[in-house]
Amino acid sequence: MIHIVVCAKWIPDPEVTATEFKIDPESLRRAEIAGLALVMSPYDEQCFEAALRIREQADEEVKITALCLDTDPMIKLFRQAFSWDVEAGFFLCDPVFEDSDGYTTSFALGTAIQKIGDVDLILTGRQAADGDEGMVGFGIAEHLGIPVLPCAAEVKVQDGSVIIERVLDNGFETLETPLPAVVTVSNEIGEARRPSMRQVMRAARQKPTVWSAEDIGLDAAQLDTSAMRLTVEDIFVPKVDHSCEFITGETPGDLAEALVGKLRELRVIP
Amino acid sequence: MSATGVLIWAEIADGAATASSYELLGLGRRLADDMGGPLSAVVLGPESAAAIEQLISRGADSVYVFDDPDQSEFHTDAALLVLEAAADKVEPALFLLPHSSYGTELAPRLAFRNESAPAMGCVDGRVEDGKLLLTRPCYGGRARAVVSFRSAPAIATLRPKSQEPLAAEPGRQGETISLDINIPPETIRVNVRERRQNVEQGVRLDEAEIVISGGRGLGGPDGFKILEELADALGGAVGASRPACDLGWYPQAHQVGISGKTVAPDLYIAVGISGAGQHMAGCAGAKVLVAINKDPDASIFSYAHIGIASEYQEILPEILELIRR
Ligand SMILES: Cc1cc2nc3c(=O)[nH]c(=O)nc-3n(C[C@H](O)[C@H](O)[C@H](O)COP(=O)(O)OP(=O)(O)OC[C@H]3O[C@@H](n4cnc5c(N)ncnc54)[C@H](O)[C@@H]3O)c2cc1C
Repeated sequence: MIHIVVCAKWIPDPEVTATEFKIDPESLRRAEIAGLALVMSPYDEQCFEAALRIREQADEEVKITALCLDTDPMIKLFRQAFSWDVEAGFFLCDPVFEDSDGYTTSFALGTAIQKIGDVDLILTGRQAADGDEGMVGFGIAEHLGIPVLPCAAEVKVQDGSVIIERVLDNGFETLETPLPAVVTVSNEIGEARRPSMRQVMRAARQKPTVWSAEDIGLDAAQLDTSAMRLTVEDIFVPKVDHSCEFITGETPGDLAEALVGKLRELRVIP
Repeated sequence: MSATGVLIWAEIADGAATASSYELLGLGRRLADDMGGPLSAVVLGPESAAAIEQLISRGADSVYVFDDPDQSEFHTDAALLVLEAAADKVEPALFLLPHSSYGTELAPRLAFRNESAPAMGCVDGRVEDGKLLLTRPCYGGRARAVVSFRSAPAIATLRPKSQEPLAAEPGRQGETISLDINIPPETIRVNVRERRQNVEQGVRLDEAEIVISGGRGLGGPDGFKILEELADALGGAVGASRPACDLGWYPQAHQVGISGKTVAPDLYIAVGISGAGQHMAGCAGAKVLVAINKDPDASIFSYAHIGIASEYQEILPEILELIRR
């Protein structure tokens, strides 16, 4: 059997427009905006897609477990995960995670994965689409002392090894390592499939196992603000210090002429 | 006494330090001077000799070199040991890596092994009352976070095109120190079966002075033809938004943005691109930003210097004709 754990996070919709986006100066967090959708971080959805493809192609049994760490009940996240027919869900839910950073998050996830036990492959997104940090997959791997294959455009499991196509700045590489291992998944995998209505209905009845920090054998002192490695001193929305000069004209020809004239005047085109 | 120096990892490509290495030196020099410490660089690989002089002339006080003929193939597992050893020797206040494919892997792994966490994708830094502060985009490029570190050394990656490289100063003196590190074979757990470089035609996107990018508003792959013609006529390169790449309209290697390439050309023309933070994070450094979008309320116009609110199909052929004339 191949046991895959997918780590997933629930975030404010990353496609929110700039005008809808605000930072709360008090808490230095993203301001809550009424009606703004929360979604699964898109790279994490793509992790489930990668896991489902492995399950379809494998000639042995594949078990997929969803794992999430947060402070609020993640009912929707697990409903979405179960609608892809994942076999199990674990939810690390504790108020102490309120101020977690990449270090404490991967420490807690790594510890939970040890407790889940017999895990072959761990999938995380290449980064979360809110913090854009891209460190948790590496943190889990270092915590567990296992190899990590980053930024996968394709993931395959074969004869006890995992093989990925890694997206590089200027090309690709094919990497292989024996299981257990961590793989971080990139958007080149393609969009996650949509579950059927029947799958969605059935998922509503399934519940994850909920663990507190204590349940996985960790103290608050290992996870609270005092354990964080980075301090966020400030968050702000950068101001654009110029306004847009709109070019106007009667015909497309006039517009083109005005633009080309302007760009030549600025000496940015020959 | 607490650490005051800065160490950078200079990546080597085609026998020379990469352009982003010089940006790392630029920021590293400024921060090291502010803290009153030295600036060191570490390089790996058989071609590093040629790069050492360049690094010293552009600001490094000392360069640590790992060049073991048995380790000529690049493996991140081995590189990690070398970077760890360099950091142990230098004991810097800050270890700065490029926000490249390998830099974004090595920085967090290095940090976690050191029981710390890295600041990823920074665009700037300063020292305030002796405290190191680094700035990084977050929330899909919509916001900037300023972070400080609770453990030493601080480990961070720097996004390309965010800093001015220092001009080369010929004859500048520095020290070269060779690193003698044993890499036990069992450290390398990942087998690199194959490495393939994208073949680039024409001007490289990240080096082009003029970039013309297309988005979902082009309506299909055909829309990119006129962008290519225009780029050819201007000696520029073509970029694309992520949806345009995800939809297969243009190769993924041309994606501009937070999960693609960062460009800072003299001129960036965004055609049929709405101006999401994730896209702008890759092109906001352009000197002149032009937006062509049929929706006058599109976000892109709040970043653009010059805007044309019109269908691109009507306007681009006219522009091309004027340029070619
Ligand atoms: C984690 C994460 C990472 C991401 N990374 C990136 C990244 O690196 N790069 C990136 O680009 N995106 C990235 N995105 C996606 C990003 O959030 C936006 O969805 C994307 O940039 C929008 O692409 P677009 O502007 O091409 O498409 P749209 O937002 O659909 O905009 C199309 C625009 O074209 C205009 N238009 C339509 N027809 C015409 C016409 N005939 N003439 C002129 N204009 C027309 C429309 O008015 C519209 O403004 C990322 C998203 C996430 C969640």
